[in-house]
Amino acid sequence: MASKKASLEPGSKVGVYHGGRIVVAFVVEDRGVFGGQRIVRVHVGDWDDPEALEFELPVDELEPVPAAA
Amino acid sequence: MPSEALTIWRTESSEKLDELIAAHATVGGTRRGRRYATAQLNASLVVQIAAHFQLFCRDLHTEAAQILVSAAPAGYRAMLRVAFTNRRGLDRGNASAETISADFARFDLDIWSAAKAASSLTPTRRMRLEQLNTWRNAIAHQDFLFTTEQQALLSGTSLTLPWARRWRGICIGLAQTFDFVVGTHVEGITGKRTW
Repeated sequence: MASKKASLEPGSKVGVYHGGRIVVAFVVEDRGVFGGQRIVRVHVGDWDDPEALEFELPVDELEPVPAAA
Repeated sequence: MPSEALTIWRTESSEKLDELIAAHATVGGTRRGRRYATAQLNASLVVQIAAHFQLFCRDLHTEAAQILVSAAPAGYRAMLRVAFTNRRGLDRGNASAETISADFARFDLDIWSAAKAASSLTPTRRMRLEQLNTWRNAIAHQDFLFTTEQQALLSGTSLTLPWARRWRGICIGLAQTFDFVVGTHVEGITGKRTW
């Protein structure tokens, strides 16, 4: 996967585990360090979809972008 | 030890608000130009106080979510992250009483009741927070035609430095109370005091 530093940039494409598989997401925001972990907010799926999931997770839990994406 | 959220509120956010207040003091004189400049600074200060308090509430929510998810069995964590943080109101709108209530309810916490139990000043602070957010919206949208209900809420208040200081003070009080009640709630679930 891309380096953790690169994945923190807003708009970066990343993989996240959701719904039992790795899906494509975009970094919305670096939220800072909370509870000893650097947290990012990610948007899952199409960037233009206003109903898409947006949630937070530690940078350490980001996955490589799925090969088919 | 306070939460990371409260530490940020007391340092980074506080410094930025202090800079605006300091700018206020540097606008000298009594001419009409000064009155216009200070009015703009007062409006900016009100917007910034509301924004930084919203940031504090978001940060406190993020921190609590992180602690609670980490304490859960591994198989639950991905589901809990989404349940706790997906499309929070605090990510999109003001830190209104309703938005704060709805977002912290995701942790099975009635934050306003807990805050009232922790401090008898909470009901007054909640009303002052609503005043702050109402003025903030009026400034942001440049719409100062208030409803009858809003007029009653804002009665006696104005966009002046003393009122900005008062609203900042209530945010300081609410931040401290929220920090305590959320920390206590998280401890009740995890069995460990994090802050």
